Amino acid sequence: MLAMMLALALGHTALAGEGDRALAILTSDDAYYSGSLENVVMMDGKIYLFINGMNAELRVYDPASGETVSYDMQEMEDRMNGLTQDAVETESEEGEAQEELGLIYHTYENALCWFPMEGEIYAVTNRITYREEGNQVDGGHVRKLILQDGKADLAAEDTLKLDWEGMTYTYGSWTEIKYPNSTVASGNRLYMLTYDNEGEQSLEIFDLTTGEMTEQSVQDWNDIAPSEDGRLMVAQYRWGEQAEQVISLYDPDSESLEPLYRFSLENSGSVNSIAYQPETDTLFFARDGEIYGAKGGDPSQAEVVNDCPVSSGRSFAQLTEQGQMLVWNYNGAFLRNTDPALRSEVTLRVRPYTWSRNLDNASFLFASEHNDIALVRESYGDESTLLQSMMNRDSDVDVYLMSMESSAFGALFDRGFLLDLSGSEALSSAVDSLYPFVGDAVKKDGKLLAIPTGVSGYTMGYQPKNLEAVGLTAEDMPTTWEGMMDFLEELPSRLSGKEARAFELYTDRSSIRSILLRSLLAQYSLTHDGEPMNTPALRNLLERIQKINFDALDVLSEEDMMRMEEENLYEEWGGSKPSLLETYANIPMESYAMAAQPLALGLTEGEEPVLPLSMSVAFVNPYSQHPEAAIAFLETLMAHMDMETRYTLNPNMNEPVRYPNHEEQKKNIEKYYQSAKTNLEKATASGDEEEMENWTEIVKNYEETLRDFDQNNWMVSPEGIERYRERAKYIQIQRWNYLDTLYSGENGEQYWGLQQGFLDGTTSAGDLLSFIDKKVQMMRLEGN
Amino acid sequence: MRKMKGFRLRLAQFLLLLLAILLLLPMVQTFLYSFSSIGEMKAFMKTRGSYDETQWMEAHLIPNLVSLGQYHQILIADHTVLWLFVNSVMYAALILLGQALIIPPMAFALSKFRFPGREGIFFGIILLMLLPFQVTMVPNVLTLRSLGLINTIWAVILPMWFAPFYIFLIRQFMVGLPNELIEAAEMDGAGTWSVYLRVILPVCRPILGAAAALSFAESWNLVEQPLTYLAARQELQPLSTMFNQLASENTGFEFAGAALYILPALFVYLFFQEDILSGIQLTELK
Amino acid sequence: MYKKKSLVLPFLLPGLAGILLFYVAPFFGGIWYSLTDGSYENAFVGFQNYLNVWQNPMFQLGLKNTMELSLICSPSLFLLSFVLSVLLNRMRPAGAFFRNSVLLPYLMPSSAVLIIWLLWFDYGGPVNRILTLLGQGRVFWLQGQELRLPVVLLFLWKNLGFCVVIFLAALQAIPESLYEYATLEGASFPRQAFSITLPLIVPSAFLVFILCWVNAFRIFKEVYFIGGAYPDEPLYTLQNYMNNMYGKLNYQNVTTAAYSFAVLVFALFGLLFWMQRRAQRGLT
Repeated sequence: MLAMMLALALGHTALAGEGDRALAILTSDDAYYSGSLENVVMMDGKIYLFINGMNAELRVYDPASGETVSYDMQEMEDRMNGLTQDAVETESEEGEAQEELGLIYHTYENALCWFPMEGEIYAVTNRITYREEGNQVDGGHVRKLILQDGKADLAAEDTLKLDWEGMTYTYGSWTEIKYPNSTVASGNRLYMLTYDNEGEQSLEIFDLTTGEMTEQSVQDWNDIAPSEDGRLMVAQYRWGEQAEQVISLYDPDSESLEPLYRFSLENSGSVNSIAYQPETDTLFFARDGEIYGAKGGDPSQAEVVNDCPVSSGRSFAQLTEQGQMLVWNYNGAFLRNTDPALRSEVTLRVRPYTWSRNLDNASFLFASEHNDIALVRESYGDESTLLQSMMNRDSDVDVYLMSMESSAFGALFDRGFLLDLSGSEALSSAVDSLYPFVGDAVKKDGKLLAIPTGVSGYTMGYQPKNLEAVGLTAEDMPTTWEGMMDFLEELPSRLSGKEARAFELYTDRSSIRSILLRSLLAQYSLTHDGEPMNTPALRNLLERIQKINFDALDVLSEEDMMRMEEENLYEEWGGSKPSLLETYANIPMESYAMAAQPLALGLTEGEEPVLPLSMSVAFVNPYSQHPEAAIAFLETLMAHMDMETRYTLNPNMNEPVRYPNHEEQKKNIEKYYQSAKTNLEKATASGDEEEMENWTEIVKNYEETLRDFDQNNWMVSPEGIERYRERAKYIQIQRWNYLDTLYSGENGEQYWGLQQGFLDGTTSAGDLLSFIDKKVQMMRLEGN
Repeated sequence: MRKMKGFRLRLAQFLLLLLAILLLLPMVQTFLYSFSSIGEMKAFMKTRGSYDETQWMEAHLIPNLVSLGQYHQILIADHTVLWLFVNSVMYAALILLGQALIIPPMAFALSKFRFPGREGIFFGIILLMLLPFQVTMVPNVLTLRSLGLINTIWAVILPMWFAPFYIFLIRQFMVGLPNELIEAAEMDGAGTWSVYLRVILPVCRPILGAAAALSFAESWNLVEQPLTYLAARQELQPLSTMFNQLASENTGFEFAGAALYILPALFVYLFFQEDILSGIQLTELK
Repeated sequence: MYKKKSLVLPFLLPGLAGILLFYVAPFFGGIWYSLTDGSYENAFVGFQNYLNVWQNPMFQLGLKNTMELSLICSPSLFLLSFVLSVLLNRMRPAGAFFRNSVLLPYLMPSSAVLIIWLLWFDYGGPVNRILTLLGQGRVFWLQGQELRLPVVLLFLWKNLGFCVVIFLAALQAIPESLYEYATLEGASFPRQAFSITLPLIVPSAFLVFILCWVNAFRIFKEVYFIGGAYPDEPLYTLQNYMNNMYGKLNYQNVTTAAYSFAVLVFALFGLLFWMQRRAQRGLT
């Protein structure tokens, strides 16, 4: 009695938003190997989160007590991957298999799915043995989960062996299993929705008492979930006249599908995390960043009950005994209240017009740190309504994310429709610590108006590693556009007789011409803003681009490309020879050690080269009702910039970064190396010539890998950083310019027609440039 | 005027016939094209825009293969155009409805009543008639927004209910009605409202018909208003604004779309033909 | 005529309220708009906007083109419709079919017809074919100066009917007897046209003239569909300017340009009105 009164009292005085919590956040600033949430099981009121990754763990959350217990799963995984036991010794008695498929390389086992049954959790595991010439599959082992001493493990003995034959299919000597998309345990059965490698779907039904399997062929099923009455809830997408999502009830015995709910996709994002609460007869679902509750199960009567930090969650969600909704995807898991009375008073609405790598991470962190603010993260929007909203002084969106190249952003920036962020110490000092070109771009009259959230940009580049093979040095590379054209002319003669290519094989003439044109025009409009383009110098360069001798450079035409792919002529045509030039080289920092270096070319002899960088930013709506919350969100975004952006924009980030499991990876390779050496010894002892050859080869490979491992295995490589710092001095931020208006407006069609003509050779450089000049001149004269 | 005879008549008739053909040809062509198959139209439309001196576009009047493919695409397969069409119908209907209730009374007031400021108001209406849309477009957004009507259909419909041109047109007609009509009715004991309903409106049928037809043409053709006031709601756009997009995409069925677009206007014309013509004639244009 | 003011109100008020709300208020509100600088802070800048806009070369270009196009379109339409209606008047009842068909284009939405127009005037289209048959060279109809012709023709095609009908109505109101009498008196056809026809249709002519101009100013839609937001120079109208400014969130310039234009239109109308009054007085 007292407890109940206490609970009531607490409920009333509880802060809005209390009760919402983050159960797992697996995003990270680095977005590498941070783990992924593969499975979630709810049983006896508790939530079991199976997290894969470098440190696999099982997290068990008890909503009643609010406590989380973590169990290590890495040991179990290592064992299942055969890493802590000598797999070579087992199963070499399989005489027939040995004959057909050769020696065992390795045996792996992994848990395909987890499900609850009679108060215990079980995994269905699959074992694959890789051999020289093929593999074997042995699956369907149902093993019980055992939690003990902070570790999670699987019982050694199978509780049940499922009839696995229907799950496997072969091509050649390889055996594959169908990929299980979703698994549901209901009644006495285990249902698996699977795909094979041709995209054919099946519903596998396993009887959990006998292990027998029956299979039903299904189509266009997205996900399944158990329904109250022992049937299955099925989610499907229907494209066609009217895109919609359909939720149906499926009766496995009669194979009948009965549609329950329809969600139109015409003007809203897709629906996920669907859950039905029988006690209140309410249908819950998440859409466009918010959770809705529909009384009476009628979606058209839905009202917002809370925010949903997880975008693109699973189709179906579960409700805890306390009535909270568990929303999750591979990136994170959250509990959300479903009672609208508990919803926070402050709603922060974020509308991204562009994809930003750190948005997920920042959203999760912000949502978990600020329970009193409901963060609604909308699906990607269409920019065309932005200016209208500003004119109407709409205050429903608080934070916008968009690219600085957008003309809508340019209009807002020029007329000052962005909230002044200078008051935030965190943001100001963060921006000041970056390269000056960032501050110049986002500040106006000394006021900070936006913060960077991502970078992108590409142009033609070259492979420093392949210079030697071609007989060139870094000094030989061109530094001006004229020089580049000369270089392309001379390249064939320089390459003759060498085992190298000018360009990578997987490129075509049109791509090369258009990237050169695009980069040239972009650079020109950045550095010669306001000047006409139809100058003799520029015309000359464009004409030289048109006249590039692709035959001599051994660049394929589009028809040849198709032929090469169809007839598999990649090797024949020298695809694996080192290539000097790369059609597309990334301008932001590339962590990959073997990435190409963009060519920084000056427009004329005396001019400094310029590499245009595209930047996306976040800013606050000046009409927002919650500026402080919005600024707090921006601070979170800024503090958790993703790795690429951080290194690209911050001149002081110069530390190379190892993968967190670098040492472990090395140890594993060592183990493989050692076991290969052991195998070699055995083969030598037995005198089997063929086996000796095989294992010698394998041992050599491992040696090479180990030798170069430290040098090559970086998350952020020192070479990548160094190369980037070299080119960072040429970087300028590409802002909205008249060219973009020309590309995309109503005159865009005319422009693209002309450009295509130029690339095909039917339109002259002069015509193209004078067209651009005319239109840009008009835009410029109009003024802003 | 003397009637023309003989050679002159023939010549004049011939020239006028030529002109008539030219005037009607676009519509006829649209209808003809709408009966070609989609593939045919796509291929045909691709041949335009070529600057090749040696080539001509086909004079493609009769479809090679009569097919209802375009119509099928619009009416059955892809619902977009149909939906836009329904929107256009909705706008036209609602606009005409409101106009019918508001404009004739106002015209009546400005023609048959004497009160201070009458001339001023009328003069103001003439001035407003001449204004291009852009003058009031931007401030109108603020008005509509404060009324909460932005991004709703009423943003487009409401201003049209008070369109000055029709007030002008109907008022001019009413001014020419003899006052005896009214006096006669009054002697029978009718009040103003009765007079309006039972005497004025029936007599005004021609001009009302004309105004309805012209207003329909204008409402069916709205472009600026939906683009400005309904920017955020693509699904509320009428066919007129989206038509250009459809046409520029060379979908192959834009002719059926155009035919569908023209048809209601055609029906309205045929229906109101006599009214339009006699109504304009009887209007005293002072 | 009703004299009681109170009776007027129920008929007048709804319409009047609407006009005040949706036309008059924005009209005056817009004036305020044109006097501020339109950034987020929205400072008052007086006539600075007007000066900026009038000095802007694109505004001047737009104004010039709008005026030129209207100057081409309106008189052409006026004269053409006058001639046609005179012809038709002399040909009744045979002209009935023509009278019906001439009004049809007015009711047709021009965007639907535009596709056909683009086909006709395509570089490889029928118009060029006819030209080559007549010994001339092909013309790039859809660009530059030449685009004006298809646009003007589209305008004429659309509006001819309406003007003809109005003129016809006025012409038919002139009693036949007047002409018979004049013929008996020995007056020639041109003399009759000028002394009888013209004066009696001045009011209608005035109306038609006004309508021609009003519609000419509205050409923008078609130009936009053909030429895009930045068409070739000879087609860049004032409405292009206003439309583009709108897209750049520069509502100040939109309203400034619009009001400048409105003043011009009113001046023009005032002039015509005054002229018409004088003409009418002089002729009666």
